Amino acid sequence: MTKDDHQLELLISLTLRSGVALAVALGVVGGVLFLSHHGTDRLDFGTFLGEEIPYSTLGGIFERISGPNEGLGIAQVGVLCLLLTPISRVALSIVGFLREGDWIFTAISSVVLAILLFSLSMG
Amino acid sequence: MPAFELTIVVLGVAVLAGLVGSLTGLGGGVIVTPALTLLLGVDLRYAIGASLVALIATSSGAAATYVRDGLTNIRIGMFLELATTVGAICGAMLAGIIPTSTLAIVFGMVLLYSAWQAGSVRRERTKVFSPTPFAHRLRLSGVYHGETGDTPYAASHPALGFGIMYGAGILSGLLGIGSGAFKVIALDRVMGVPFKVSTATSNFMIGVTGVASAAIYFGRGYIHPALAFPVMLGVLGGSTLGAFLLPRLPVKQLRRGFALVVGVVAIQMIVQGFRGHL
Repeated sequence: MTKDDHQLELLISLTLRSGVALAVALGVVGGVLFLSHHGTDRLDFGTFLGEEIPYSTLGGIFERISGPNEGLGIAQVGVLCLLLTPISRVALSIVGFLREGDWIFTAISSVVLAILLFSLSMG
Repeated sequence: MPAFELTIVVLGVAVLAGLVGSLTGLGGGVIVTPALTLLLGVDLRYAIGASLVALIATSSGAAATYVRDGLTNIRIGMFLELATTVGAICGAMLAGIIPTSTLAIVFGMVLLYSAWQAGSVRRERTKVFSPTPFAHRLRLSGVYHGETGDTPYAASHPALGFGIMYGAGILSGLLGIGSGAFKVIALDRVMGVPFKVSTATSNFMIGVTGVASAAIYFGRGYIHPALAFPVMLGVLGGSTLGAFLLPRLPVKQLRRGFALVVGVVAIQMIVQGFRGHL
């Protein structure tokens, strides 16, 4: 294994770890905030509401966060951070393979990134 | 149920699911969905959304360690992610048109197979694979730093491996699972990658595969933050506890027992699916 490969590995490892840590932190903060204000509210996950919940779009989440006592919006930002973690990992790999001059793998990683961005644009 | 009590219960179930998932090697996500639907009556779609979130968290956390230790083959992983991500998107699309009772049955069958895999004894591979020119050209190779010294390896049958990975991606997107069992089969048995490298590389791929379908589920409202946050925290906690206990417990005997429990859960899932209760 080359030195470049190992540096890339360390960078990818750090990215994954920080992404998960950030998501956990936002989940804890948002969750505690939600429960401290809405702990006695009735929750029911038995009926699926689909897109009726305000947490399925960026606009909906930010509208929620700007309101008072909104913990769930913060928790959902944590989920978004988590989704961005593997995407950043792929983006980093592109830079790594590019620096190694490995064109085939630069192309492969770029296609994987494009597939992920396509999926994000559908969501 | 009031939000506070429900969150505590969900957290507890998720810790257990993470623990069992890590001790059996099945991963945290596969068990959390049946636990949420069968025990707490959560809608299958919310359970799948929450389990995907938990799955991305646990696999990213574990992958960070494997990658740092040089166990993961990033090239092989990245190459096969072409197949798993496209498969995952197809799976997520399919999930939108398949009735949930059918999904539950498919889920149960996949779970049953994974439990059987986890419970059966792994045979050491004796056959040596020769790399194809294609795999050589893509440098789908590496060195495994094992206890008995360094073993160089190279991936063979990349096309067949690619095909199986596409199937694993579909299942992953359809059911919100990591389908690690299928990924390891493709890497270890078909492509001839050393078992530990296969496990690490499969784990590495699960996060990216999960995101490909999670992004679609997110927009469909499958990911409810009130369920996703305790599930994510619980599964992470449970699998961390599992990783701590793993070297301190008689794993082989335990694995059999847990696999049996997971098998029973899988059958329950199939039965409920046929009855149309899920």
